[in-house]
Amino acid sequence: MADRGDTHYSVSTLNKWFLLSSVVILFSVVWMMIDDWERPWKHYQRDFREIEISKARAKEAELTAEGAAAREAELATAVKAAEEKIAANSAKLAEANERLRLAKGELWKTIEDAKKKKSAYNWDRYILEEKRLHEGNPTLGQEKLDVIELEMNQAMSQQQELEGKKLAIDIEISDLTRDLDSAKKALSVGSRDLEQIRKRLVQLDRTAMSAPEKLADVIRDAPGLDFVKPNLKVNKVVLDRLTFELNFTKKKRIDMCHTCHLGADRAGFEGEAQPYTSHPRLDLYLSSKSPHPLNEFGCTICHRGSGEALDFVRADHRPTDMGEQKQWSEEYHWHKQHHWDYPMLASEFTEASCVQCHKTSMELISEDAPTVSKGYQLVERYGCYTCHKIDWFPTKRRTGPNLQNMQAKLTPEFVSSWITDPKAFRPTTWMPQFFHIEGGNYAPGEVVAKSKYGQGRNIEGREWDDAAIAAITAYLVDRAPLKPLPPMPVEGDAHRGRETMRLSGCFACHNLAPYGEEPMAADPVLARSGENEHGPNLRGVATKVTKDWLFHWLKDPTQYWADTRMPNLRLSDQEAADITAYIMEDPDGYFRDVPENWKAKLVDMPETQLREVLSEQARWFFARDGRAQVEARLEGEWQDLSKLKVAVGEKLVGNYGCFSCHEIAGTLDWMPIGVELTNWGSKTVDKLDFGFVKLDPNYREGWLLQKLHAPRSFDGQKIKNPSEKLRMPYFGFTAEQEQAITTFIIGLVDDEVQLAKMEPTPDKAAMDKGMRAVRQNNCAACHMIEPGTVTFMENGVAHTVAAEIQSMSEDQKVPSAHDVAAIKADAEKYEADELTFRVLRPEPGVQKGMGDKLFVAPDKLVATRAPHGGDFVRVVTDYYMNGIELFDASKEGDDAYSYVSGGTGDEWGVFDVDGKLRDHSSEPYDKVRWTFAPPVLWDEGAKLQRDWFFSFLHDVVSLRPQIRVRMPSFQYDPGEAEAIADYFAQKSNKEWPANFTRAMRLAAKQDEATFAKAAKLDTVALGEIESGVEMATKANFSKVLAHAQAKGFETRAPVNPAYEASVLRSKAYLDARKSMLANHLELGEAVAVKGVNCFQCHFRLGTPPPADPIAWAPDLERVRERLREDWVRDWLINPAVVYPGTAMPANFASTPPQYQDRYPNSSNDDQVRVVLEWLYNFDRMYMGSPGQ
Amino acid sequence: MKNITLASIVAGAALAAAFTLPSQPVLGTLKGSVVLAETGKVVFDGEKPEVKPLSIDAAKSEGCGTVDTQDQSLIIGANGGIANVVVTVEIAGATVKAPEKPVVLDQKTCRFEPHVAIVPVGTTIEYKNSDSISHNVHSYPSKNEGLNKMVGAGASETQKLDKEDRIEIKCDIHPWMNSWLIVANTNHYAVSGADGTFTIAGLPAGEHKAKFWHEKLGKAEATIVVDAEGKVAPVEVKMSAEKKGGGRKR
Repeated sequence: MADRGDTHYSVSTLNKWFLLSSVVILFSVVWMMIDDWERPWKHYQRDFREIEISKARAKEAELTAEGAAAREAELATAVKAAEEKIAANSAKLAEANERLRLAKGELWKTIEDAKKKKSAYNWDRYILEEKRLHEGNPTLGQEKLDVIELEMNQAMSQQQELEGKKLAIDIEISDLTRDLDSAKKALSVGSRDLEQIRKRLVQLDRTAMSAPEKLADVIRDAPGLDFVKPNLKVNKVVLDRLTFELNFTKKKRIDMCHTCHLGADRAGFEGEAQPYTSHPRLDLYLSSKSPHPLNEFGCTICHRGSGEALDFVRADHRPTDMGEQKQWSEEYHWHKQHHWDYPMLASEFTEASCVQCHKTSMELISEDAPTVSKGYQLVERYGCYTCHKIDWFPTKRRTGPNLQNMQAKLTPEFVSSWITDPKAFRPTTWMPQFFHIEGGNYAPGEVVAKSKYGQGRNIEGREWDDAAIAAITAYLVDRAPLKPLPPMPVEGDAHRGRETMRLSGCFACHNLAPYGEEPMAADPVLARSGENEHGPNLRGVATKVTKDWLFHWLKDPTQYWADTRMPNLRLSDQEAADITAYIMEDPDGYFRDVPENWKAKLVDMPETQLREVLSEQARWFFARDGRAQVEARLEGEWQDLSKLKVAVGEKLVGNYGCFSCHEIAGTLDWMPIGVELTNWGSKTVDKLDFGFVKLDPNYREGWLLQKLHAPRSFDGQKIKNPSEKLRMPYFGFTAEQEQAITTFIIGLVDDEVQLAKMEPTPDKAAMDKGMRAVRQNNCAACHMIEPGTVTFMENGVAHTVAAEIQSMSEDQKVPSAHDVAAIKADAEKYEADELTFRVLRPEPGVQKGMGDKLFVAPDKLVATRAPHGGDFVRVVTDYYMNGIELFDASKEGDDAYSYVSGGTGDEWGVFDVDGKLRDHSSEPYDKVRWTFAPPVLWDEGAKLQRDWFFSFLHDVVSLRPQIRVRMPSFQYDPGEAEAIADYFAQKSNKEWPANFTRAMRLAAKQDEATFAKAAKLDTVALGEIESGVEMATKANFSKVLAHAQAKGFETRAPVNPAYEASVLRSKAYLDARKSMLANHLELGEAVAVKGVNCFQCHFRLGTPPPADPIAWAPDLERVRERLREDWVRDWLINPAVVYPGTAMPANFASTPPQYQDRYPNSSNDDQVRVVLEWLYNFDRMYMGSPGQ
Repeated sequence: MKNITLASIVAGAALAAAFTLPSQPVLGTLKGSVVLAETGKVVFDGEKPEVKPLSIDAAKSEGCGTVDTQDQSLIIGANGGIANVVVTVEIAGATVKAPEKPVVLDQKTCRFEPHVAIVPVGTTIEYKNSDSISHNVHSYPSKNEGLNKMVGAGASETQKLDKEDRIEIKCDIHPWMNSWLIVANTNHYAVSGADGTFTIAGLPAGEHKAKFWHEKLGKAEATIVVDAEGKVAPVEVKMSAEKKGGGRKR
């Protein structure tokens, strides 16, 4: 078109511009589309595909290399043979199936019948008990009850019989069909792997695809077409039951993390870089078999961060340190998402997230979440919850001693010095420091206030705190008027007290570790072991407490402090007086040893200065009363300095919250002073005052760590009134403890998981409660609950076995402590070229049985894990065998060491309970350990009858009188003793399949391969069952049971924690036995008493045996109420595999069997049976109990 | 101490009677060896301690018969010689041969016979009970597997000992009953007789390190020199009481 000249612009120029801009717009539209389509996550998915292809190719090569085709053919033949076998036996199989159907019906009827009879019995018994109580006739209706009991027992034994019958048919059927099942399975396993890999490769690898497949593969991801079935796609899980708070509403979580983290929920990508790597704990998380599968839990409920973001920065990833932060900023323009309230947790704090669901099972998760559990336990021990409310915390106990009768125990001088700095006297105390904190807000030298409302002089931090200490001391003394204790009824003997203190059990919970430096003497009580730090270190205690108080405290701690964890050891007056004398007279230099320059003294400040500072404190803390009022009192009643001190002291006690941990008269209803922690973890970071401390302001963890490390540092450089200043005391936590506590507190979040909350099953809840009770009562100090393990190399393979080390030479009477460095040092010292261990739990791969010796060259020793519990055993054995080693720093060489025991002068030894001094120092270690030290509790649930166990915990009786260590009478919280009994029962049940399998394999004297074959298992599965792997046990343990049934192998049954009837006492059983062997109980007596001679060592109805105390054994009268029948049978057959090292001999293990004169023509089994029957009917034989 | 003393022969014979000597095959087989020539003597150093007889009350020894109450844990002769000291000489490279038949450790009138026995590695021990009552044999080895079994009247138990060891054997029913069984990695050993003398058979010419051990007095060492003609210069070894308590080595 020509330029008509009537426009002010040139059309042709405009056309050019149009052309240019349309090209630009077209280009930008295309660019926009490409940019929108080509998201960063697609790059990750493509990369991951390459990784997968290379892995699949490698696997394919591996499978084809091994001649898979030949194997396949072989397996196909086996399937055919098995099918033929079934066809040949079809009639038999049909008949067996019919029998099974009938047996099932019959069994069902019997089960119902047994249930009915049992409830009928229980009901009648209940009615009868009521009636008996009412009419005062304890034997009323016994005959009728006996009849019902007999019926019940008959029904129950019939049920058992039918169960056996059904199982037999099951085995019969499976014998016929098993071959086909396993052949088919083997065939599919062999070929399936390769088939699967090839299938996968066709999906992944374009070189393995046909041309149309290739085309389809390209088109699937093409822009505009990729809505159909793309390869590259966003992966997401929608979590219905997990919510988070978004602008006052609860929103479902949607996690898309695995769009990029493609290998996270799959095994096999362990070594890959992020974001492709497998989760390190697939057994616990993400995998479909784990307790936290991906589609139910997602990622952000634990890791936090933004689950819906598909971009590295928007997901709110968290750099581990400043270096990484810088790198990310450069590489990805990373910055924290300021409007997202749930930043990702740094990996060291991820365990925090466990708390939100596992509040009711903190003990159960302690192994898999060690840091947060440690934090939880520290919060419990240091009593954080007393000032800072945590509404669900399972205890409300005050962690500091009751101060209501403080003056009976302490002097005001001690109180004053202690308040000033508790750690100066007792470095390990959990009482924190409130005053004179370096870098604190009353730091020495810092001006705290200008006195008289700004008119007077500057008051400096040191004098302010000193005056506060004087005031608090005066107040505490004022609130605890002396209630004198009666004097000690007998005089104590320090020499005797030394031995009593050693052997009663004091050092199970207390230690005497010196201040600072390493101990010179090798006495185990001088080293801190964890278990012996349950109570305070006792060094210097004689300078702290009064003699009379100590005596009464030892006699009954709860009289002074009802909440104390210190148990009652039931000491006689004389024993308590002896220990008191030993501590107060301190012949060994432990109890009057105080740190250098430490002295109990009152605050040393001139009276006028003290009055001035206290007046100023009164002006601040009584400010609400009005200035006129305060000034009037200062002029009036507070002219009496002691009154001023008490008045200010009360305010300060309120200010610092002393009353939260300590009971102080008049403060019992005061409210705790700390910030509530129940949902502290949901607090956003902008609500925290970082003051002038230079920390990363984006995250709360740093703030919390700083708060624990230097609690008052956020006041630094701030101008604050004394009444506003931070008050949190200094605990002296280690970095590790700070991290643990921070992890726990970060985890205290608003409840987001109501719908998915983990409610432990009753079994697990019992375990959890029991574990807590065991921990809080420090049962593990005396009792070994779980044996330690040793890891060693053999032919280049590492093996781990539960075992305990044996002494290395006769010079080392007591074996070494359980840590690699100490063991190696000892091996060098004693020139041992071989370490000897005793196996305490046989493990697959190590051909050793229970109690067998295992030899390891010192350089092959890799690691050891200390046993759970039993540190105190060493204190006892060391004392019996070596005496107490004392170190005198003023002497040199060997002369500096001396040894004392219970004897005086030339007499060496320990007083046995019969009052005789005996030298046990050259007895074998095992004898001393098993006779005089507290018993092990490895498998206590399988040993004890649960009802007896908890009544024993409540009302302790002496079972092994020769042991001088006392089983204490604990102050249990309600339900605690039951929980302990339940815990052991559950623990034994959990370990039962593994123990059963191992016991059977060892009894069969077969190695794993042979045994596995016989039980129709594969060796791996057998190993997993024996190692207690839960999944493998669930899947395959039934095969072991079937094998046991077929072989007639008997061992302990699992524990029924609810109720266990005593079969050997039941009338039905006894009647049946009588009809076979009329005098079976008398035969039992003859074998036991005249043959084996049980009463040479065992007590009989309270009468001690003729043997010396070192050979004493428990009263046989208790067996029937205390021990489980299964356990006693195993014990009688071979005690050494139950407790390796025990003094109890194998009495029924000879070939040919002994005691034929007592029980003619009897086998060992016959003898065990009659002795068991005799034991369980002991009362009927000797105590005139009815029922025979 | 130039020649064989009568006492050592008697002691040796008594020992051989109570406990089948395993060394027969070795006697005289080594070239230049000394056959039953006295090798030395162990004497007590210091004031002779008083060793009280065992106090065994009737209740505990029921069925035992007349129990010998001598405390065998420390026997010092009139001349200061110490009985029951174990002497071993290890010769590098020499093979150790175990006797083919089991060696018997007997329980008689509630005592172990012998009180101290020494056997080479690989020996089978037969724990016998010649009493008319039951005993339990409870062994406390450091290297071999332990044994704790009831052995009825007239019965016996056997066990093969494959590792060098020093094993205390006790009966828990009768606390005074104990015995020491030394499993040596050599065929050259002896247990000193009542006068403290001992004789080691079959030593080749040269210098040998002899190790001494006694259950109460601990350890000692000496060098035994055998000349080219096979004659030995007798050694005298002194042992003394150990300090009580403090079982640790510093």
